[in-house]
Amino acid sequence: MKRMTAMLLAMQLVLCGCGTVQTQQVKDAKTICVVLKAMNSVHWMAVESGLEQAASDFGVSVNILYPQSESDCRAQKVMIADAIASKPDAIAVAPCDANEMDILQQADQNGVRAFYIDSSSTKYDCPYIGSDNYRIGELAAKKIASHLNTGKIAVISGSLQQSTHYERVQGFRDYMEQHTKLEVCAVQENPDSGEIESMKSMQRLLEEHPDVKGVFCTSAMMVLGAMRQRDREERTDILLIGVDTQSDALLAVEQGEILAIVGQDGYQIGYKTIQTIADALDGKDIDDAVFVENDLITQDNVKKYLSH
Amino acid sequence: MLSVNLKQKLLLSIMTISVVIFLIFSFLIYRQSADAIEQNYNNMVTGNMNVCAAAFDNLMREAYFTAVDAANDETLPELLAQQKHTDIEDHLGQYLTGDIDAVYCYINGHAQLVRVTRQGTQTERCTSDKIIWVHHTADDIRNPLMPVSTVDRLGTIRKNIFAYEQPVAAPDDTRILGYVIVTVDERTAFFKCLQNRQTGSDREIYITTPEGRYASCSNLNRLGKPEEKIGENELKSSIQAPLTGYSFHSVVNRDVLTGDIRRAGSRILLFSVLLLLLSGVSIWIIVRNMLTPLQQLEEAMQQVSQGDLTIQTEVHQNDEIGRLAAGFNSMVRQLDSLIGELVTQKMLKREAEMEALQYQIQPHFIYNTLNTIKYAAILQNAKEIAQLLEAFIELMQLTARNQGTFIPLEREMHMVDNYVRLQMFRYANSFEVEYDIQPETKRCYIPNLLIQPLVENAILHGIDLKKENGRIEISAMQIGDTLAVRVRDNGRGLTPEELQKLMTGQKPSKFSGIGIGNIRERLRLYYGTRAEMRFHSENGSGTTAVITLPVSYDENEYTI
Repeated sequence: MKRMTAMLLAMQLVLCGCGTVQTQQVKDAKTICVVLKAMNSVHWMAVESGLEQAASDFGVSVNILYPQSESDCRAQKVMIADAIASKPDAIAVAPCDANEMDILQQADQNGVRAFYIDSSSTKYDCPYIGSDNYRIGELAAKKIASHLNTGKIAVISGSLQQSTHYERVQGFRDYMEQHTKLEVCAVQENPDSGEIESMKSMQRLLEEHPDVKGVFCTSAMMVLGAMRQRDREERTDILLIGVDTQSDALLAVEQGEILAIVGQDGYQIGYKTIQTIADALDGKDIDDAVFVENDLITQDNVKKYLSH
Repeated sequence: MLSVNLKQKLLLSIMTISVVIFLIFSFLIYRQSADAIEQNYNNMVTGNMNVCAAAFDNLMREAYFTAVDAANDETLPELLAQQKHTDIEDHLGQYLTGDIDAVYCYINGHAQLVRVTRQGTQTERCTSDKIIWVHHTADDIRNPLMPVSTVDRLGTIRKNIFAYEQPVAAPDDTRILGYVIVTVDERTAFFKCLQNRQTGSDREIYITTPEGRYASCSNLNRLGKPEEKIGENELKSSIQAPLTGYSFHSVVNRDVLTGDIRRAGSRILLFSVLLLLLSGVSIWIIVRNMLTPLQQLEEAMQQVSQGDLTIQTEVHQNDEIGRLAAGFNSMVRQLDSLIGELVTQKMLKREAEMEALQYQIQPHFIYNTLNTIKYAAILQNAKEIAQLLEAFIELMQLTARNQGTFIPLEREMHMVDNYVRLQMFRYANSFEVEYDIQPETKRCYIPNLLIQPLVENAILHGIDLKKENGRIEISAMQIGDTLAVRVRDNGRGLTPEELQKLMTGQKPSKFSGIGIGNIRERLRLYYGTRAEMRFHSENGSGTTAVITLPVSYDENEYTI
């Protein structure tokens, strides 16, 4: 009889286990807020894609914010403040205006770790993930110098408040001065890095310096705008070189209309950013600057980049 | 406790163990399956809700971007400063895109509210208490990326909305000119993010604010109220939208999930009960068949204990029980024959003793009479007669006094001697008797009247009483453990037929009434195979009788 009772008790225990109410809570994922410059070009879409892929690979949650265009510095500033106020574990910023990054001090006050993505600023010191923009300028300069010996060279740049464009221009200029006899005659600034604005810049440039032999544009959108204006004015002798691995620009390289593109893989930038931040949040040591690779894409090797 | 027999106990225990094992197994399997189903369901629902949450986040992001863009519009501060209502209305109209339900702009200091909605645009005076609603959204502690879920107090209809508010600062950042509020209808969020995920009525998805109030659900009465606790039997899965921090919950009744396996479970239970009954019946039959021989054996044992030794039980098979039954049978048979033998021996002994007792009839009368005669003979000087009488009396007394079955050899010889003297007188000393008794044999116990019949046989049938040279030799010797007594005569001898007759015949001795056959029988009874009597005879050269028996100094050693 005792044994029977014990058995019944044991069965009761098994039965009781059924009654517990299960509710599954989402795991405590780290949150990273990323404030980009805009979402109006292939480059930024590639960055977003890389961010999201890495977020799912490393099990973090990523919130991406961006103003309507790269020139909406005020809106971006508001977003950065709001993003910090939402108390994420980390914030990554691609500053529209490198001079306005004092706002990242707030990150310190809120215990949020800050990072730069794609572009950096000297106003606040934190790790940077993106291209080595100075080297991009050097690569472009080297390529043009291999085709031209003397003459006038011009630059169409995005907002020089943005470190990306500023450093690219700087790298280009320094190389030209130190290694070639070419003269950088003009730097046209084009605050929103857009195609239409770039056409206007090209038009102005050709009016002011009709004897220009080559133009370096610090983004793909701008090199496409410059190309359209050049073709409109039938000045196909002018060599064009751009930045950003972007399919329409690559097609132009393949067709020989653009001399070269310095590749900048937005997907890699996005992916490496999340990877680096995840490492940092896990307590690992990270470098102050994490660079992605920049290749020089010419007619010879463009097929490889078009195929993926 | 109930009294149960072995069969019932066996049956009960086997059934109980089967039932318990089966029940435990079923429950474990049920638990495992239910858990697995719930786990899978949970994973599926979590994935599903992640999609909902992403859609919700995107919707809210759009509203947030709109609010930020509108508030940081370069022309808006100018328009606000100039108080051009129609221009403000036109300007804000461009932000009423996509899923945005309304854009409100409150102009600080003038208590004016510009409403740009899908239904139309209008500017009206607005009391500052209404704006308290606006200001609690500007709370510093709040996550600015998180929309406010509330009732629209500024609109014409008091519906539930999600709202973002952004301050409009003067271009020089010195003061706040006003606020822009962008709203998304709760129904928009519901139909865009939840409705197509509600699969049937058995499952409910809803959104709650981080404070745990209903932000969007199918039941409009619940909106804004604290989240209800789920029922006992409901399964809830929750996730949090990363951007807005709102929680998505899916609640489903467990019965819907595990109903199928529960039904399967009850079917299995039914089948198993039937199987159990079937196996119970078959076990009962098998056990009954197994136990039938045992029962028969038990009955047979009872009969044996009541004294029926002729019983034999049936042997069914050559298994353990069959061998047990066979063993029982042979045991009973042996018992029967042993008891029969014992009874026969007792009876034979009784008979022999009775025969021996016959000689004790009225001894005192005979002794007294004979003694009187003896003294008369002495008075008349007939000494020889007196001697004879004395021998006879002594013989009679010896015979009568021998109450026991075993007597010392010495006494038997004394009796034989008296008997011989009487016979010598009777046959006028026509024979002589020679004794050769080893002294150590004298105290050996032998059955009484063992030797006298042999001597009588030798006198009456052995020697020729008409001749003078009749001779009888009586000897006793001990050889090891064996006592040998020999009676030899030198008479005409016996033919084999006569010998045969003598051995088996019941012809009684004239003195003691005990025949040769009786001696043989008594030897067998007392000593079994350890004693024997042999005759050796040749025509014309006498007869020799030899008795060998074990040496015994204890009167009762061989007493039956």
